[in-house]
Amino acid sequence: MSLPRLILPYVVKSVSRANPFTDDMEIAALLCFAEARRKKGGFLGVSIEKLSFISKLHYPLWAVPWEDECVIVDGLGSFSYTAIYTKPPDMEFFTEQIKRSTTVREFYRNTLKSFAKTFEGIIVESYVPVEAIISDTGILSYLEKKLPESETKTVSPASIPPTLNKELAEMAAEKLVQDWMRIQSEIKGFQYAINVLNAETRFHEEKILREIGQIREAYETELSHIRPEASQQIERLLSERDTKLKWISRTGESRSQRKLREKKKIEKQLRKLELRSVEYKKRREIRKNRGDKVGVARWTYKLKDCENEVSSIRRKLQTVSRTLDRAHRECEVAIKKLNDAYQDLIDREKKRVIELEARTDCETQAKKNEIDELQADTLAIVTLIKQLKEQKQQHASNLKTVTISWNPEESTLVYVPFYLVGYESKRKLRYYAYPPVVAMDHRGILTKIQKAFRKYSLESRINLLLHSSSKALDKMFSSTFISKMKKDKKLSMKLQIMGHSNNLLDLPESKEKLRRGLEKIQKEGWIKPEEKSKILDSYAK
Amino acid sequence: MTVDDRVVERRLLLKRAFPRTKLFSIGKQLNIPYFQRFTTAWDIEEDDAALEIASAINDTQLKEVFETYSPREWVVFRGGYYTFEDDVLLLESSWKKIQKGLHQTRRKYGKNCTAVLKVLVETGKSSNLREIKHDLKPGVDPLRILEMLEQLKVIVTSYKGDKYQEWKILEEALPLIRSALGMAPTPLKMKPSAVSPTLAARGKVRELDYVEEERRIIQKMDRELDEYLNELLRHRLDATIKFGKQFSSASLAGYLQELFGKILYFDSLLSIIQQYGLADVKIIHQRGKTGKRTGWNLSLFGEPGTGKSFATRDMMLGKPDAKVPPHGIPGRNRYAGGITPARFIRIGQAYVNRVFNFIVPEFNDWFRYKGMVEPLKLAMERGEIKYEMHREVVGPYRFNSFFSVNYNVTTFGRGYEVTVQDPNFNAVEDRMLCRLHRLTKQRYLEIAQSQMRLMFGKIDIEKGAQQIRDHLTLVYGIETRHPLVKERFQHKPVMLNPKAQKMIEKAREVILEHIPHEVVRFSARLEDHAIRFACAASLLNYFRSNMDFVPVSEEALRYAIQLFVEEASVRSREEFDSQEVLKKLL
Repeated sequence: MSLPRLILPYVVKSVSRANPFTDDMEIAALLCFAEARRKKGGFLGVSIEKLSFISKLHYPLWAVPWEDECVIVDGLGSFSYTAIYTKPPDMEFFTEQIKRSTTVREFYRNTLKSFAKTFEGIIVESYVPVEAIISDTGILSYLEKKLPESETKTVSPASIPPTLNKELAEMAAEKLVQDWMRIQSEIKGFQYAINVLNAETRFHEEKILREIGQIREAYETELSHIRPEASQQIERLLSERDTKLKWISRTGESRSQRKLREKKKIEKQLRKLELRSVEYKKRREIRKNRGDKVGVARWTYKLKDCENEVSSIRRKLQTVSRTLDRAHRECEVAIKKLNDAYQDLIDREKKRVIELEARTDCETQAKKNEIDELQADTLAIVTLIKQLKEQKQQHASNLKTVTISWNPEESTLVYVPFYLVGYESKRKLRYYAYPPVVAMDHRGILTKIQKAFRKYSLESRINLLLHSSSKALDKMFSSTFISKMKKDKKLSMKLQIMGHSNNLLDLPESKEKLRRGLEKIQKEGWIKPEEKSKILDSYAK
Repeated sequence: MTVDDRVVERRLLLKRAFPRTKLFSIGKQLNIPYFQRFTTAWDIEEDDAALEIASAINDTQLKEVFETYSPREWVVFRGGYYTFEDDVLLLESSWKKIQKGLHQTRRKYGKNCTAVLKVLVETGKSSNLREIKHDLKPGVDPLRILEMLEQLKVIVTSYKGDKYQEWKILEEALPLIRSALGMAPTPLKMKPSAVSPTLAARGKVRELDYVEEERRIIQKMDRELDEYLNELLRHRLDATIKFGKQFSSASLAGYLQELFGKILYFDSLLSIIQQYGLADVKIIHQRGKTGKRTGWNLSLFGEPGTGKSFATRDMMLGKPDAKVPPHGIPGRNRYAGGITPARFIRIGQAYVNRVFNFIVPEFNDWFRYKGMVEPLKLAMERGEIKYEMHREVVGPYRFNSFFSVNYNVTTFGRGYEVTVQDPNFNAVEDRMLCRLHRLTKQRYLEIAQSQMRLMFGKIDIEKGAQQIRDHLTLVYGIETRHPLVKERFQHKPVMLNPKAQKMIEKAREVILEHIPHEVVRFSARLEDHAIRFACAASLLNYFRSNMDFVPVSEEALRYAIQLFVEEASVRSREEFDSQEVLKKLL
């Protein structure tokens, strides 16, 4: 069964070009190019070259389907693609260790700590070359654009036979697919590890919450005994204290009352004596006015006696007042002492409850902290794994960049046409490859640079007519392909033979075609009449 | 025990002893077809993989597997056929030892030992001291009993904290313990494998516990939502709130119009707004409650290829192949493609008191089975479902979830004909917000163009989808009082205003005016759907409202009126021109 083969167009008309660009014009323009680039000799010992051949050949590429897209494999194996591969940590080991530690929390905590650094830092990168895969985005985007315009043909006689057959091309693409699948598997492994880790931490969280419940319940049970016991005790102490207080107050008060009564009595005595003293003074004064010396002496004596008594009573009053104050003070001190003593006992009872409550809070808080710690450790590891996962996803999408969105049913040989020109001089044979081009319209260019245009060299003018389709394709043919030809003598020989056997100059109808083509491009103003005549003289006589 | 039990036990042993990477290598080495479908170990389902291997090998091969692939030396397995302890696999039962240990402990502790074991069996998972004590007589200390049971290998420590411990009975020993306690035996559970029709055909999968399996799916979906919300709160909260302050039903419509065009966008708009409605927020008015909530069922029907599945399934769940990211609430959409109605009614039991959205493509297939209309009608009404079959009775249970369905109908110049033969199907339709799809030139053009644009990467849904999904999930979390957000954001009901009432009344009046005869072919439920839709669409404005409630927005009301009129027209077999009515109203 023959393989499907596609041939891409060599010349594509630009959007602005109205006139058709015929095969004759293609041959004529390419010959102009070839002629313009031929070394004509001159100074510095440049030897004269002869156009040995100009042939339209086809470069083989394989389009190998991959999902809804395809990978382009170089049929001559000149290209290669280097994939970056990073070796991930052993996720199976990690998840197994995590699962292993499920039943013992401390073990799990330690396991998390031991893996804290495992996923940190850049993993060693290695470069995996995948031979023959074309990864140049320029070439790929050119192919992506042009493949829908290609036509299916049987084998062209002027195609370079691929050195990589279908199986080898598929193997090359398969290597890429395998790499991609390996990365996908690693990504899934990361996700699995994240899921396991999150699930296990959730499991432990749930268990800690249950433990908190158990702690609370245990303390609640204890508290349910202690709370009523303490409040009962407090109640008893309060009542005891109140009784004692009442007794102290009562005793203090009766003592004070007694003293107060005594004080009042003394005060009364004092007031009487003071009145008596005033009376005595008055009487002495009367006696004095009467000139009764004896009377004065008697009342003076009585007055003195009375005053002595007043002084004595005052002293007594002071003593009683002091005793009363002391009794008050003593009572207050006793009350305070009692209050303090009982408050101490009450506080002690209250403290039993508060301490137990504080212990409950402390222990539950410690457990909550443990949850936080587990969550933080988990999050740190998950974040690192996610970073690795993202890195892998990036690698996977990098691998996918070598695909183009064209979906052949099976591996397909795609031929890219090009012109190979051989120049022969005395010393050597030189090659020049012309990749596919875009034919421009003459009108726009001529109106823009009408005057200057005539001064342009033939090569520059043809360059304006035939624009490069893709810079990457130019590089592929002018550099990669020509270098391969230089290195690979066998290929060089093969191409030389193909060049001669497909030489346009030797084909019987080519002279006529060349004449027609030159006529048309001269009409469009790309070449001058004298250039046309010269080329015709040289190649179409 | 039967041969099946041996396979089931082998599967359990393999799953416990080997990580997925090793199961994958074993499966590949044994050339088991299941494993040929995977290129990486991370894609396999551990349950399925273990089952496939267990079914493909005999005891000798099992021994070889354990010798070749080093198993997890820390695990313990004490089954009726196999024992794995201290890194040694024995092709013999542990049950005699367990029985002996059980006997000894019971002799010593009597009824208390039985009570401890019963707690462990009944909870079916790890239990701590508190839970075990709870069911014991006061004063009984279970610790000594547990220690002895553990020492005699009847139970194992399943978790150990600093001052905390949990115990459990190994899954493989459960049947033995149950029988010793005089409890009804339950066989080891087998996960129904999505990839093992071959095994099922060979009769190896004996019992499928649909409800249990569904509960596992729900747990997985819950986890998915928690993880997404957690991620959102950690990394995208500010951006989402900022986005929410600009977001509305009009901007959502604008986003969708840009992607899909002026006709096609409406289906996706409906689907996304239905997702907002899933929070099932209370609808209130100025004087109190309305008794209504924002949730509603959505039905897109019409000719094949009109984009129904895209709007209900692909937009909500995402379709990576077509570069369509998911827009729906993570973990709240249960794709029910390929599920039979009988299975749906069975698994519905797992969804009691939970609100999910069932995405059902080809809904008409469910009505191929006789007698399905009634239970589905009840499901749509969120009523109590009871389904009695010859061999079993399902329910009664209350179904609280919603549907988003699509199905094919034959459309005519006017009206449509349902492909469902059951005449009561109209009753089911009446309980959904319905949209008819005709493959008009314009619709065809928009479908074709958006397909092309997506294909050639000319439209990038990624960023918009992420923003909308974040907003939707956050609003859903807030309105359902999700534990991760309930402390941070206030739950707000949606408030209807008198203007909404007036607009609906006006629409009703104009529609009735345009119906040329006395008979009305649609029910008043349409108005109810329109109100619910408007309220769900108003939830998009959550972050724009500083009040204690979300007021119903005018633009949401306009879309609701459009829906009401268009649906009334379709149900009336297009006896009146919806565009003409809408012109009068909007």
